[in-house]
Amino acid sequence: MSLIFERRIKKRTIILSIFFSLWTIGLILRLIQLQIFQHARLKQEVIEHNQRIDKILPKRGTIYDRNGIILVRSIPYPSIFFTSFGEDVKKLSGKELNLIDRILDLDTHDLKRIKKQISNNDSFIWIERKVDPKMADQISALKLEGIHNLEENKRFYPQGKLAAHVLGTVNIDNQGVCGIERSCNEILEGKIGKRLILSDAKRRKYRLEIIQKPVAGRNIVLTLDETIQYITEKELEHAMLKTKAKWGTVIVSHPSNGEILAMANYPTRNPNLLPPSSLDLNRNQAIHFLFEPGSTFKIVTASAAIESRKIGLNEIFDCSRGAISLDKITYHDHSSFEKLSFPEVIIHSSNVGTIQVGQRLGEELISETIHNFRFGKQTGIQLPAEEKGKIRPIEQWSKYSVSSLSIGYEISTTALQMLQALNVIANKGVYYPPNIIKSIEGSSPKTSTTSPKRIISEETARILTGILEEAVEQGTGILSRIDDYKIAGKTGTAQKFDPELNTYSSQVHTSSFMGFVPSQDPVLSIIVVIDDPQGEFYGGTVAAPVFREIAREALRYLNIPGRRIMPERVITAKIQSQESS
Amino acid sequence: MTEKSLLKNIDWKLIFLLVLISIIGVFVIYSSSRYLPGNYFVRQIIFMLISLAVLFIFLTVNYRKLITYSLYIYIVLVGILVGILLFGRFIAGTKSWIRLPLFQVQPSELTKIAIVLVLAKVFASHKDRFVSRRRGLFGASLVLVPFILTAIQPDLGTALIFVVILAAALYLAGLRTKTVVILLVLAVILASLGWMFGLKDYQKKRITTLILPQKDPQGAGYHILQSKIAIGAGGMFGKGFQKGSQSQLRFLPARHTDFIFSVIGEEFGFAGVAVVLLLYIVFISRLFSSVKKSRDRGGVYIIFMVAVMISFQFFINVFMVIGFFPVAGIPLPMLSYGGSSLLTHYLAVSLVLNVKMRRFVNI
Repeated sequence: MSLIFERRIKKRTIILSIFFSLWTIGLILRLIQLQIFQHARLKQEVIEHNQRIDKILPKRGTIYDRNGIILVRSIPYPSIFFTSFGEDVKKLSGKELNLIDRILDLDTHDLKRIKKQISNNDSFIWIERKVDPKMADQISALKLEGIHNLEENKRFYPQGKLAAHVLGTVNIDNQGVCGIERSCNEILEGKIGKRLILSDAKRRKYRLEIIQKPVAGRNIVLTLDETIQYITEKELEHAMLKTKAKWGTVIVSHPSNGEILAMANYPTRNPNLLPPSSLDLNRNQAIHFLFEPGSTFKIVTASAAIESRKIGLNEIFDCSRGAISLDKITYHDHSSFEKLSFPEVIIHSSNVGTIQVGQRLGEELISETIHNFRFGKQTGIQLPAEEKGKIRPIEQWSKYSVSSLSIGYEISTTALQMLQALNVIANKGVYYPPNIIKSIEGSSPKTSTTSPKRIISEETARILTGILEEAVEQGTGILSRIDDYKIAGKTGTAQKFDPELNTYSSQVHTSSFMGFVPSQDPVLSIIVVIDDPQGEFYGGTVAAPVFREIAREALRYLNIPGRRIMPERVITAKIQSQESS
Repeated sequence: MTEKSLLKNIDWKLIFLLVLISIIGVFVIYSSSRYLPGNYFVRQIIFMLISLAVLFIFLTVNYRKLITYSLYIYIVLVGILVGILLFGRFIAGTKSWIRLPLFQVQPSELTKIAIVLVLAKVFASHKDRFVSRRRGLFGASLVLVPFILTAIQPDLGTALIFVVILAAALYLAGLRTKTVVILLVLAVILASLGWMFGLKDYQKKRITTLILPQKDPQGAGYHILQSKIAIGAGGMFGKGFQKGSQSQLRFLPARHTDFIFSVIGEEFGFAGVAVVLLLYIVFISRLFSSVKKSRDRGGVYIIFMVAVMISFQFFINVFMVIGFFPVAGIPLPMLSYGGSSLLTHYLAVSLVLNVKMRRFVNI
């Protein structure tokens, strides 16, 4: 070979080597940049795209009635979602969405949202949450790429609308929005667990590591009795249909410990059929509706009178005029009476008589008694957003106030507050805070924040019980009577204030009855409030029969023996049976 | 001279480097494909043994004979390229493969050897300072035919290597500055025409994402991005054998073939990459230093073209993996999985050994 050629080879090899060297230097610099300077950031990126921390949803607690009957429970329901990630990004096509829609029948609002998310290239899209498992199976059968199921918990109310207002509902994320579901949300929800998911480029999980175990929500046992609740709702509905009233509420409690056995509202809804987050059941009228109680409130005036000994039991009040006027305002009685003794004033629910009693007692005593009975304060029942009622402070009272208050006006209360006041009398003068939660799984029996407290003397309670027994036997509450049981009760018929006319309406009433039975050793205390009944409107005719029916069925269910001896009745029954045979 | 003395003259060091790089390849292929069905590393070992055998068998044939018959070899391979375009079936989106009972062959890889030989024949008789127009155009047209046939498969990466081989030959033969300028201008015009009419959308995207990989991290930029992340995550000493999450979790595409370098970067870190880099540099330098060991012009061209071919493939692949060059489908020589590619490189090295060992022989 020629020397020139050899030299040329050498020269060109050197030039190439220079190029290669430069490239190699560039390569090494790049590697240093990536592997040393950007190492931390890129390593973090690796972690980010193959690890993620996922929530493990805990099972929400079950709610039972006092006998262990399930009122609400969580059952697994599939939720359908779309996800895409990785090397080949896939979009959900309109055709696929149509196939899904044909099964699920998505509403237009959801369809619009899904389409928008698809066009935004969202990597995670909820199609529909908590769907019928059968539909979910049909969708799985389509084998669409990127469409998956996630098991979520859905609240299920096996008893349908029973105690719906007490139980309340949850939103789509299982957070309570009303009722016990809301007030006990923290107990019921449990603690969310965490797990580390390591997945490959196609989002296939290859390792799961539980960092934090989920803690299942705790179960709650309510004081409600499913049977009594059922009886109560049935009777309330019956009365509501009959009176065509606006709404009604009934509370049944066990007076000696403040446990609520039933709390019913009408109208009501089946929470299984409500959309998530619905606030339809938000207003539990038993604790939310404020009304002027009217005559039932006379038990407070009577308590003050007896306790203070300012009024003698044999004192006579002149009620013959049927009305009492104070300047511009005249208070009327529902029927005309003659002269009435103090007990008769209460038994026949005379406004004229009670106002005279109230005026004698004076503002301070009336005010003090009202506060002692805890009006104007929340009872502290474990239900959300309880109303506390309205009572003006004594400094703001007008000259009519003491008269109005003594017959249950100028004050607004909840049904529960009224029942609590009655329970003081049933409990021989002791106040027990109301309670709707019997026990919570895993916690020691709850010691109430407000302990029982004596409000009136045992003697006062005994006298008042006697008066209320007579109110049922021969007074306004006669329609609440049940053979075999002695009942103590009080009726109430309040005219509703009409803000438009700025006066009390003679057309719109809140009718109520409350009582306890058996009166000497009460097992049940019940308040029935019916708002704006059409036609008959006296508490004695509208509400008292509801009380009677609930009490009769509940006492039979509870196996409470009748103690009232009615010889005449038995004899007449015998005569009748002899005659017929 | 006897066969024995020929054996003595074999460059065993070059063979050692060749085999060493291939064995590293087998390990990395094992690590990056052990989850995949098909026992890639076992196949690679078999390919390696076959290739090694072929390397030695080819040594028995004098390279001069190969140059003499190079045109026939060339014609046979071009015929095969035409054949697969007409009768071949698409595999992985290209018509690059011939399906055989146990494995597939990629004739375009072997065409590289044919081109080396046929260009050696063309330029061996060239003795002037500059290449004549006739010779230059003849050589160019010999490359143009397989270039077009391979480019429309489509396998632009392999076709590009054909041009690199041609360029090596012309560079060594000598071109006037004027010619170089004309060729460069022509290349720019052809490239832009190709961009407008010839390149498929995915190929264009590969080039645009090179400049802006973050623009489309889920799409075309995905490969480069994942590769850079893998290399960077390896750090100084790497995550360890079979511990690279980018490759083990399949974030890294083509991890046992074109992107095998990223796996080395992730599992063995900068240290591992440096070792591999050093091996290639020693290997490539030894190839270039072999050029002067040839006793005739044909041998010089063969070694030079082989050296340029292997070094360009190495640089293009590595540049692609670190994001300096578009994803072009060029494997890392000797290291990437693939029988045809491995065989081609063993054949190419066999040619170099063939020239080197016959430098004292007078037949």
